[in-house]
Amino acid sequence: MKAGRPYRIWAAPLALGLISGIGLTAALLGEGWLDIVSWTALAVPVICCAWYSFSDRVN
Amino acid sequence: MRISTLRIWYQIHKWTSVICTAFMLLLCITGLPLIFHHEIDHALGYSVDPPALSSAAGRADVDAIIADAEARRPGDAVQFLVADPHQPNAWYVRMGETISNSDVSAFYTYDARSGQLLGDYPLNQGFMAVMLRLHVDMYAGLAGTLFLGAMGMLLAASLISGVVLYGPYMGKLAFGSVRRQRSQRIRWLDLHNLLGIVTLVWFLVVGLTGVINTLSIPIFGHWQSTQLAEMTATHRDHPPPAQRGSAAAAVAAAQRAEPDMQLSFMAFPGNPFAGQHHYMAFMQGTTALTAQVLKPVMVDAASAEVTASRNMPWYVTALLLSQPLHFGDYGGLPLKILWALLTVITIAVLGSGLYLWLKRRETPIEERLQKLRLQTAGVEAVRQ
Repeated sequence: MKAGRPYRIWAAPLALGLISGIGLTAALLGEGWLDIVSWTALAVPVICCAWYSFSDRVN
Repeated sequence: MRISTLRIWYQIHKWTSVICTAFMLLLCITGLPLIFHHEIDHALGYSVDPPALSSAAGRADVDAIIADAEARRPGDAVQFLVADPHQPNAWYVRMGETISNSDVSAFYTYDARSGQLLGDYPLNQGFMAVMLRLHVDMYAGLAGTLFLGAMGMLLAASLISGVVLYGPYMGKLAFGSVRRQRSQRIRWLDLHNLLGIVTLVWFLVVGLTGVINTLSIPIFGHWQSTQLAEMTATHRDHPPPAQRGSAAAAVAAAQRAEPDMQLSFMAFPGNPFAGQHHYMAFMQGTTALTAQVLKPVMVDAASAEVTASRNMPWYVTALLLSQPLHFGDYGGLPLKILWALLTVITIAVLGSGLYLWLKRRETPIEERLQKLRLQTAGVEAVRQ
């Protein structure tokens, strides 16, 4: 079957995966600002879930 | 992708999920309070911190602390002396009914300055102990732990097959689409796909590091029967020393051997982590990353001389690094809160998956995909 344009489907998941990976790794490598990188990066998927789940956009 | 291939992926996703979901829900729900284990223990008064002292206090004699612990439980043996880099004013003493028993009989907290007993951790009681046992082995010992590890492998297969299905499913849908005006089933299907793909990497990492953690007993067992056996081989034919030498001297000797590291814990002679003739001081680094990794330093229990030390093999290091990535305890309270929020989202992914399976339509996948294509084609036609 035709899968549509791959970039359009996979851009957001790839970006979120990359951001999650950075968030999981940063605080492991050091303290201080690297902790803040982790918090910020791992907040992205949480906010993303909340935004799309609760927003009233009509699709 | 060919429709027949897609059908196989769909079957993989369905059956791996059906088998593991109940256990994953158990692990997520029990894991939620466990993220805050440290905070809850302090709030309940189970764990105590050493009080702040105004004057510059000295250091108590470690051997006196060990003697105090032994006097409190005369039949038991001190198995480990435990340090906490975040709490330099405390020593923790772990005891067992015998030196090699894997069960803990007492876990004491001592003030490292005054040598006074500060706390006696209440073992195997309370809400958190139940959560821990359900999470670790469901009260079924090593078999239960390994079973949960196998369920974790099914979860990984479920997540990967879910990603494969995501592409064709999203064919003509924009990222994040939740079709609220459609049936409840469609709405939950959209939510399942959205929440699943967004939390994928976190869920996969926590799942796979959990699987590695289920192997901790076999992993350390292998280290004991190979590397530790080699380290203690020189003393194999000697009788164990009649009297155990100073623990304080052993700690000092290990510290001199590894001046850039700090003590994580020290196993006492006769314990499976030490060998019959030696203390084994497990040293850790002082940076965030190296603090996760251990280096065993073997100290002769009679002479307090360092007789061997070597880095842990890759499989133990992999286990040690997988622990923080599973527990989420390496970035302060904000990281723990994010861990909890991601766990809640994960519960929603599992719950919606379960709902979709229970409400499944008895139509074959080909028919459903055909419908999806017609319907998205219709949407396109309307938009143009």
